[in-house]
Amino acid sequence: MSIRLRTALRRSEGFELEADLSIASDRVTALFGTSGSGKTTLLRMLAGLERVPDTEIRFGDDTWQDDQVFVPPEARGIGYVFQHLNLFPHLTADANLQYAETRQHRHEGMGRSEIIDILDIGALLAKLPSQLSGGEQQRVAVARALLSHPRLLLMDEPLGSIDAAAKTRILPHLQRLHDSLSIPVIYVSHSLDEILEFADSVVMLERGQIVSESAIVDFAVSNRGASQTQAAAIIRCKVVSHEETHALTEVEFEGQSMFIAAERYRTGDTIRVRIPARDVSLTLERPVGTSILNILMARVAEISDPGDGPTATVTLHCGDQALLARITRKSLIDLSLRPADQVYAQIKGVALITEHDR
Amino acid sequence: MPSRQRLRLLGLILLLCCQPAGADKPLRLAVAANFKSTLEMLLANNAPALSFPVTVSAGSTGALYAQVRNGAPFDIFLAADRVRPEQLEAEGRTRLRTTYAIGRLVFWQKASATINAESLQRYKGILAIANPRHAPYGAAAAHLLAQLNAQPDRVIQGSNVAQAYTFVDTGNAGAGLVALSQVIAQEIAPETYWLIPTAQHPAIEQQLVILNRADARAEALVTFLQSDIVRTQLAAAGYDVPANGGMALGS
Amino acid sequence: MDPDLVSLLITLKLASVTTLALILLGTPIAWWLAQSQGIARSIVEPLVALPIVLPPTVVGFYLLIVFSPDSLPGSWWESATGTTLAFSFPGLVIGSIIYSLPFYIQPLQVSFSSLRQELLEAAATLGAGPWNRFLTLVVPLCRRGFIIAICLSFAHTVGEFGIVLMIGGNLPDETRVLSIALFDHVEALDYERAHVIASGLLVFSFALLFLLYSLDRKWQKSPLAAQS
Repeated sequence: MSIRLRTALRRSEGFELEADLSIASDRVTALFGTSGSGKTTLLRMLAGLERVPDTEIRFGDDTWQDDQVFVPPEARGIGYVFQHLNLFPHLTADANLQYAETRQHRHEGMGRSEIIDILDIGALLAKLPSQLSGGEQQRVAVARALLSHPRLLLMDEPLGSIDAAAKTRILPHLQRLHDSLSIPVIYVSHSLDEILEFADSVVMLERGQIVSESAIVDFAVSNRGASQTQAAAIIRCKVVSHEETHALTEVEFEGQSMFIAAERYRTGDTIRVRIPARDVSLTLERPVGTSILNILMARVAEISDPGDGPTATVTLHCGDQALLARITRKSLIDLSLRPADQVYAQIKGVALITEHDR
Repeated sequence: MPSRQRLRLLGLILLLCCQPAGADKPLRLAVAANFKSTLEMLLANNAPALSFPVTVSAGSTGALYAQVRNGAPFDIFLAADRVRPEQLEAEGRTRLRTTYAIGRLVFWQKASATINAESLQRYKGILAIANPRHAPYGAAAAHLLAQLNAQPDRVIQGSNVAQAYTFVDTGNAGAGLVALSQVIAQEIAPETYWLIPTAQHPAIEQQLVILNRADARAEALVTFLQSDIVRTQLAAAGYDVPANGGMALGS
Repeated sequence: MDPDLVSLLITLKLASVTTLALILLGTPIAWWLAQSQGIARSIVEPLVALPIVLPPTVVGFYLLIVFSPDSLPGSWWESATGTTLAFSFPGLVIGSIIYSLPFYIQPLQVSFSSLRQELLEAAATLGAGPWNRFLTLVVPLCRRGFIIAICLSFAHTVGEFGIVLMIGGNLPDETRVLSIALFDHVEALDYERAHVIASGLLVFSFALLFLLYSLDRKWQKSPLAAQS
């Protein structure tokens, strides 16, 4: 399913957006950028909530907008989740869902019980939105968007106004959702954490321009990805065995082992882990007597230029996969690291977050 | 005495000399709206005859009556009828009641070319009159219509004769029974109105009362209003004058 | 039937018809005002507010001129219906619509403005068209605004005097509303009947406002408070 958007927008306050976007995937595409980069505007244009002149939008064979035509949002067959204020306050959660059900865009789509189960909102149905927490409201909002059986799901920073604790609780639901969905999703966020959890590919926007389009794994270790505060690498590994006594699971990738908490998985499952750069430190020699469990051999591939900043990001290769480490500029000099150097990466944070391979 | 203090004293003396003495407090007249312009005309034309200032407050007779009853500071009340003055007299608030003018009714048909005694009977459109219940012109008009058995399509009532006049003037009513004083004041073409003989309707006696609180100047004003000069001017303005001149106690 | 009772019925009929007309005419205007920003709004808004500050006699005076068969609208009406617009119930309705217009539109406009755009957008993405969005979202969420607007314009029309005085013609079966009847009684010194009408109007007005304020307090506590 290809989604095509072409626009050149200029607003009086100096806001510009120039995009020639082509999304040819049936999975989750993230629109990533800081506030003001234009990602929300882009999403709203796709939804038909903003009508910008000189714009062309096509969804598959349908023309949603061009010089002659503008299809209003209600006729596009989309689902949209806002950052907040989604639910109709005068209706219970269940009635909100029914609002979507009575206006379904088409017949194919996830069933009601499946959606309720995945998002775990069964206990919330009889309540009014004012009686729900922010996280609960957003789960209901996602459910409602899905119940309208959209052809395309658009999410505008859905976790943006939820506190961190609630976020950690919601993300697994979104991940389960991701696996059950067969429609394309476009997910706007300025949080790399969320995107790394959830997306398959990333389109990055900077000041109204698209500066990067790539698969998530590649983006994570790209220059742009690596330079983010929340930079992290995504590693694909296989479950080897479970060790009951310490509640650890051994996983293997590129011939090396790691121990993480992953008792949910069966031996042989392929899973992905996210390893934040700031949780990785480097040594020139294999450390001994350390409390850190996971130490990997890796080769330095690239070192970012720290400039005057306090830290630098080092990109490492472990076989075919890449890892990121964030170290101080001082350490960079002290260790005199250079590309092709062999080092040991110590991984402090066991960051298993993804449930299934994609 | 230092010069500044002298200046101040001088100013004070001048001020005192220029203050109106208590006796020059104005005489307050309350007048029914339909007589207001005529009254002001009379006062203006004959200003030298009066040696004291007079203020005029206009309103509907009913509203003024209610105000007088509740202590409004009027000295003389010129009503549009005799009912309200009689009422005040019965309540013991007055020391004099007399007719100051007698209204005349006209049938005015704005768009007519020739008008005569039969015009009213023949008239078929919308006829405007004043409210018969509380406006004397309206009561007279209603009586007239009943007597003549006139058959206009509709009779609509203005709250007073001025409003009846406005209805005709704006074209919303084709004709109306209004006051002679109005058509004279507005210089309406004489061929468009017909003066109704007084025999055909009850007299439109407009009476005034002097209220108890007034001082002797009130009597002076009433005398003035019933003087020959004023009677002539009243007649020219479209009113009849009461037969006996001078002050009459009751009538 | 007692003439004052007839006046009461005429008054209620006038207030009802006027309020209905305002619901039909005023709602789209209030909606448009709440949504728009441009020059048109800066002209329409004060026009709508005008009847609040204009003396009713001014409106009545101009209506008298406009209704007259000598003028275009008046003559059009006369050729279409055979009667004058002045001294008729329809004429009163027109006058009352103008007189009570801001009392309907303003509370409603405020209510519409406080409606969050995201809710309407969400409904659109779920497949609800503009009319459907209005019925299923705007009306229930702006319920408070609607009720205030309806009650205020109804009550305001019940109390209308100046305009009816100018264009009503005091017809007992058609245009003598309660306020005119009251005025008549006072003029004719029939204070007893005047008291009946005056106290009745006073009690009615107080009861309506009491109800409105009580409802409002109840609504403030409800979960919809943020959305009204």
